[in-house]
Amino acid sequence: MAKKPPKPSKKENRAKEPMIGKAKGTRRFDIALENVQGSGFLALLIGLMSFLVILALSASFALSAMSDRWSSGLENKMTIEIPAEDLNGAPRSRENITRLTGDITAAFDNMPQVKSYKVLSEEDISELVKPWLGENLPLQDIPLPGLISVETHNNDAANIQALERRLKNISGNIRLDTHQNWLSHLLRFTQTLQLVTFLISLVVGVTTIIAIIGAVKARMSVLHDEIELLHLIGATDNYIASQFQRYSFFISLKGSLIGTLVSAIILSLIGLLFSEMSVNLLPNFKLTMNHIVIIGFVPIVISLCAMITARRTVIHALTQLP
Amino acid sequence: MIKFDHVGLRYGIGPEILSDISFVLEPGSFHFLTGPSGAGKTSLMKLMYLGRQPTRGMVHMFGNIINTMPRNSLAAIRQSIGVVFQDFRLLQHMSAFDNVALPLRIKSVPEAQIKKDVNELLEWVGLGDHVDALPNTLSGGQQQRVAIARAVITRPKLLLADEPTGNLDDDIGIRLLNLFEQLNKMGTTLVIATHDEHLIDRFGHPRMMLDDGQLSIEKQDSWLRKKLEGVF
Repeated sequence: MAKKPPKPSKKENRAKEPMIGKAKGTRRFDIALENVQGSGFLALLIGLMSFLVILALSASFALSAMSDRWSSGLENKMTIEIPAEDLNGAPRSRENITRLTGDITAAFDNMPQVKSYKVLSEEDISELVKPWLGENLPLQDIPLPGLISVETHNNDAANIQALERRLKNISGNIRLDTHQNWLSHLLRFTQTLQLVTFLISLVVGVTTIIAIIGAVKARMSVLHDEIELLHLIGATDNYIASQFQRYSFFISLKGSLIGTLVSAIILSLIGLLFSEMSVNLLPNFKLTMNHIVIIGFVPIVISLCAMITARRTVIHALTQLP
Repeated sequence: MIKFDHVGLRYGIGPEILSDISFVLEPGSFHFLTGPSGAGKTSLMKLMYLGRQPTRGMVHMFGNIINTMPRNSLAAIRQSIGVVFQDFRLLQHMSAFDNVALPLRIKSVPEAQIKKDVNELLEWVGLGDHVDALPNTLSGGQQQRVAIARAVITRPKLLLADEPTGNLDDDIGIRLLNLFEQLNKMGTTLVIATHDEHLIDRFGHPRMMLDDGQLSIEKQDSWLRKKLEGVF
């Protein structure tokens, strides 16, 4: 068995004491960028910006999905309404509505552009008006219009005009609702919201870039002597800029990853809340794999932007040196 | 070859600190730069290590006219110049090793080579036990040796030292001057700014004398004659 080495004496211990002020670990930067105060604040700021960008992006995705859902559900679909009142404003009897419905559906037989149709029963119509009139109203006493849901092969203008002409021949006040009017309003509204989310992302992006420019300039001012020394011993502008760009990349990556993580948690909670509400009109906050991939790129894009911003700021400032 | 041709320097709109400086330093020459305080020694050194552009005149270095060179080409010239600053200018967050290694890293020398060269040089300047020490834990003399090691690690074509032995014991000062002489023998041109008459006399290289912004330079042959006459 190997003999245990003798314990070092107190004197030897003192001699081998770690040197005070000994450099620890691996040198990361030639300029003392990590020693300047405010790195944590910058990371926090970038984290918050990432959080806002991801929320704005997710809102945009949800609005886009909602628009698609509305548009695709109503494609080539229209509703024919036989008003509960006739041309003179007198109430139509149920029999009259039933007769007109029969005339219209009979006309469909000679119209190849009509793919399918469904005459809505009184129960169907009652279901539709319940949210507005309440459950306990005696619907049998209320004049209800006749409704026919129609699906055509093609919803072009010529088809619609042909259908409208046929309906006018049957009765002057039968209305054809292609849903385009309210749908276009709704789509314009969601597009406006998407534009707002884009503008928020843009403002956040510009603010982040300004914050990084400020932080880099502040560090350059504090570390002026070190930068000048590197310059004097032959460091190129690229070499000095690479220190700042690497630092900015890592700080931004750290901040934006934290921001992404927090926003992922918040989005999951929002998704959970919305799914429990089961209101069909609300946007769906469930992200698809494509959306997750895009959001996953946010920290990388932010970090690359920070890196490029830092580089350009440093290169520009270094031109002041001889 | 380094040639200054009617060079002048002023800071801002102030008076000329250096006026009409003209001299030629042949490759492999060794000069002491002397003069009273405030004579402009540090300003002249700044012009020589390209820390400032002259306000007038031409500066030629290693076959290039510095005044007309594009700014981004000057880094390569600076890499050929070693500088020992009067206030050392060590990077306080880096170890002695990393401070000395810095010029090599800037030149993209492989790490294995850097490790070998830097350890060897630090050992040579008597800091073999302090490779990991941060500068602020070293004495003034030790910091100066780190600064000198950083200046000579790349075997520069031109070595400029501003009072390099100011904080050193005589023995270490002489030892470092011997190192400078060795570098000089290997072809490095040296200019050492110093007040130390004892050192100047001991090594006896020609003087560049600055007084009130004007430079007079002792000719190499006059220095050689004195040497042969046994003045030194």
